[in-house]
Amino acid sequence: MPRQYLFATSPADCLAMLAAHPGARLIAGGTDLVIDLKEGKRQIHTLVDITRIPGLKIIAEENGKIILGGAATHTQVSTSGLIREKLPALAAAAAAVGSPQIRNAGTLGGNVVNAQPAADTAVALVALGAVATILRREGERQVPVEELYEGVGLSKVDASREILTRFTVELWGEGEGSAFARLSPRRALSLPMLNVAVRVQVVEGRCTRARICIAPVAPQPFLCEEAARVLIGQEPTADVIARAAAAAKAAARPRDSLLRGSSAYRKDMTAVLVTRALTAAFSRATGRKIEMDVE
Amino acid sequence: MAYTVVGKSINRVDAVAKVTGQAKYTGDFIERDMLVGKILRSPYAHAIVKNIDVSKARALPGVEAVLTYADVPKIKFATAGHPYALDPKHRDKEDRTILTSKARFVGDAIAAVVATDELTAAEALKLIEVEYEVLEPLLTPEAAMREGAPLIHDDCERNILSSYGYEIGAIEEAFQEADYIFEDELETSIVQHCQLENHVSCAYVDSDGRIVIVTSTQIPHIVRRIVGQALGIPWGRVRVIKPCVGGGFGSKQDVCLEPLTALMTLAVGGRPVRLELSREECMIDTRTRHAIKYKIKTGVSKDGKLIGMHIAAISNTGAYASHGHSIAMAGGTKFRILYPMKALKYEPLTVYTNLPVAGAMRGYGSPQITFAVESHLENIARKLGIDPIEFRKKNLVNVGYVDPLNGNTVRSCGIRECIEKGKELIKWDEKKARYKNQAGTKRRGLGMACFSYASGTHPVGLEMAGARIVLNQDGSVQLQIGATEIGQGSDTVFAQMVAEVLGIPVDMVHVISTQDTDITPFDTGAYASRQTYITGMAVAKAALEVKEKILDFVWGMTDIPAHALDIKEQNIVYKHSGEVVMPLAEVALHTYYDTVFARPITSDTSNNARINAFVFGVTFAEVEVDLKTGKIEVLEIYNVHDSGKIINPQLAEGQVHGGVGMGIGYALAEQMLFDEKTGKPLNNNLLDYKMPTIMDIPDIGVAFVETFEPTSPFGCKALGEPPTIPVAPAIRNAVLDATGVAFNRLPMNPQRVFEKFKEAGLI
Ligand SMILES: Cc1cc2nc3c(=O)[nH]c(=O)nc-3n(C[C@H](O)[C@H](O)[C@H](O)COP(=O)(O)OP(=O)(O)OC[C@H]3O[C@@H](n4cnc5c(N)ncnc54)[C@H](O)[C@@H]3O)c2cc1C
Repeated sequence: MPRQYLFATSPADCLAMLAAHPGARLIAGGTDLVIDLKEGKRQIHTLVDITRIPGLKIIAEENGKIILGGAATHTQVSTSGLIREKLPALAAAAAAVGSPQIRNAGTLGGNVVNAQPAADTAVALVALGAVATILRREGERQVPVEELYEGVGLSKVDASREILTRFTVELWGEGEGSAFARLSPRRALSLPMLNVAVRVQVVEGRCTRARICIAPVAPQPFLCEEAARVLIGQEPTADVIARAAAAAKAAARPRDSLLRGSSAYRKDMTAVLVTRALTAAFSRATGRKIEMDVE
Repeated sequence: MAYTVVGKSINRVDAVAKVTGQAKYTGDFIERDMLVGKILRSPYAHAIVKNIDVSKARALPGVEAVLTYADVPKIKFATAGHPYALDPKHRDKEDRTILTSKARFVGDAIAAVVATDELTAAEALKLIEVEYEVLEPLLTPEAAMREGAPLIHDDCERNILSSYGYEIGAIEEAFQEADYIFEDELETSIVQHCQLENHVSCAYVDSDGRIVIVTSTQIPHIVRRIVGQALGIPWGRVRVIKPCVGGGFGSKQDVCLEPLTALMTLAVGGRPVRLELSREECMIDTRTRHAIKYKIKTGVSKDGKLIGMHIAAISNTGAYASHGHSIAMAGGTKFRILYPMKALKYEPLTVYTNLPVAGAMRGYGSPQITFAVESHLENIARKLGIDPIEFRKKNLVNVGYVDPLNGNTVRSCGIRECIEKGKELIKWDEKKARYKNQAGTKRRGLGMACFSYASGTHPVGLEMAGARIVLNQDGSVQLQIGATEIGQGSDTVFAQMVAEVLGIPVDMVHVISTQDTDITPFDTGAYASRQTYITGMAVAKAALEVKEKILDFVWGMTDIPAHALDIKEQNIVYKHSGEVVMPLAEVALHTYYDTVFARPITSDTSNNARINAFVFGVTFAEVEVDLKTGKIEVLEIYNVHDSGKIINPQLAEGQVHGGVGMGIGYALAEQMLFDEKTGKPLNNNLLDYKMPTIMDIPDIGVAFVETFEPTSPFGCKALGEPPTIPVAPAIRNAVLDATGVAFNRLPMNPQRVFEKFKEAGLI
């Protein structure tokens, strides 16, 4: 159990505090970390709270990019007009997390660094191609979110000496759309059986870019390039979407779980959710409705 | 009858105290230097303790006592919250000791510690060293009944706890007479009450050397007896106090913690000890709802009359008997009044397994059998091509019907009106027509299910209730009841009854909500939906007696004969004209202070209600089913109840809301899961156990068909448990209507639904 709780006033201050106290770790909303502490999964002496650092909760558009602070909460993200308009997949993912209390406390940074494969906003950030900025005393690095994973529950961000300060999502411009789909046994307080986030761009009637992220079907959010490839250069018809969904289903490797659902079911659902998310994203990208009957 | 207070939605008498946090629950009972108890639980579903070493735990500073199975009385006792049966043949199965050397489920209590604080107690548990011999875990009734399976309790062959059933008429003859025979197999899952307040008890020894237990229970007087039995001490040496309770739903109609808490205080020289379960513990080591499998065979005539039904049931009762034997029987009894038929044979087997103990839970066996029978009848109607509502209507009971086995009589019955009302509320005919030819991936459908239930347990159980009323010096009254308020609102309806009889406002009735077995009149407790009906009789009797004494006293004061007087709006009035004779407060003062005639007025009444009243009702549900994912959404749901006269409509509606929510969870999501090899619980927490949240429950429509039940002084009947009973089959029947796929297993969660759709070739 921690003996000390410190509030950092800047990222540099945070790094200094971490360095000064061996066995220290940073804490944001604490909605994952406090549970780990209670269950004795981590031995931590000092907690360094980052939620009062000015600027760490920023949500803004700058030079064709969306900037999201590492400590932006799910409530902020899901209610932000900017995010709802420009990155609807992320807004929907944030709205799906836990319950109002959890969303008020839980943050994007925590969702990513906790490194669970089906963390909702992490899945959306991967699909959006978000890049994380990570500070340590030696300097700064920029890493795409999907490259931050080392295994289930293991992040390449070391929260005992590093801080994830922001996510940057480049806007693709004309003809882009994103969407999020989720299957869960109830509407609140429910980790997903399966979630899918997609981002596409359509230029002159053809899909030019696509990113499809599916979870939990692998040890980390699964960026399914096989499915994205099916779409590139194609007109976004129901038939093309169905083929992409089939490719996603073939590539997905969900586990059998009595709690979360069987592998077979979740494989089938991969196709359904990918279809639904792509249909919504393409509709947003093109302003046209796509008939879903081939689903 | 024209009532002034009964039938009104007055505020709960405890509303302000509860909303402002002033109400005191067991957890608020704090004594100086209170110690903390904790339980060491078996990690194995079936194992024998070969060796246990507690020396390290005992040596830990702050540990005040360590108890193991070796330290508990060698007395087997039963935990079910039933009145004591004078006839030994009718007693509950005595199959457990307070701590055990044989673990019968993962979580069984092997040892316990008492320490100065939580952390020390938790630390001490880790220091207890136990060596187990692991036995084969028997996780299903089939495995447990297998020839040669190890015995969970030595005296129950093939692990069958009981097989008591019945046959009305001659079933084989009925089948021969029938034009059609239909068969179905259906099953339900293990679910948990999930009441807000976890189980908690505190105990200490008072200055007279008696054990005082403050506990969150539905049955204080029964707890007193069972603690006495379990400890082998005179029952009078135990005093049980029940403060506010945060819900029970049956899990507290059982004696789970109190004997151990009592033993803990004895082990530390009578110092106060608190034993409080975490949610995770509560979900495995209190009680669950029985999973039951049914095989039903039914004979029907050409014109849609039910001729005979044969129901075989296998009920999974878990590691200890608790209410198991009695639930199989109660479920098989209360449903049968709804559709009287020539022959009915019921053959239940209640079987021990190495899973958590199943016990009483809202509906006490009826949600299970009603799911089975109402699903089965729906299947039959569809096969016969008869409208399912018409089919049910052809077979419904009428007023005057007498149950052939227990002699209970239907004296009021509004089931037909309930059905009509439900049809109208959900716009049955209009929507049925609209949903006739659906295509696409989302399909809608309508379903309904009926139920019957009883008000209390007569004639199987004793229906004793006590009430005590004192007329205070200001004309207000004090009301004490032995019946327990556990959140359902019973204190409020009793206050309304007293106010009605005595002609005073409800705020002049001071209800003593806490039960204390030293002080409170005897009542068996909150279960079987009995209190408003059964305890209401005692309350009315006491109030009438007080009224009679008041009017007699006025007769003495005024020479106006009592029979010419009445009490209205806190005044003594002439019965015929309403003219005021004098204020009640003046009479009250005289009863205390008249130097010659003073005689404070009280009543202390018990009522042995050797009677029962049947209740009826129906759920109508509209669902939308996503064929692609198997997800079912309840769009609209209506419960219509015949619970006789409704004493407090708003409280009644709240009761129905809670019951329907519980039913929706039962239908679609809730299920306790265990590792299929080891029996370890997988979801004994509220994140992984999918109880519906407020976001998952649609607006719930509630309506009442208010019949007047002649056996109740206010015409009321049971409402506590019933709202849960018909919900799951109504939803199941709506899914059948939407998709043509007949589900036979709960819960209908997306994966199961999807798999079944695949199997049925729908997708
Ligand atoms: C009841 C409940 C329901 C939940 N439901 C969901 C759900 O539906 N979907 C879902 O995805 N998640 C859910 N969660 C998990 C959790 O709420 C989220 O993962 C949340 O985003 C974690 O953020 P946090 O700020 O609380 O992280 P914390 O608990 O504060 O931290 C988590 C980890 O990340 C590290 N960390 C945090 N911020 C940073 C940073 N800026 N830089 C470096 N390291 C950092 C911490 O050191 C820690 O190791 C639920 C949790 C609970 C308790």
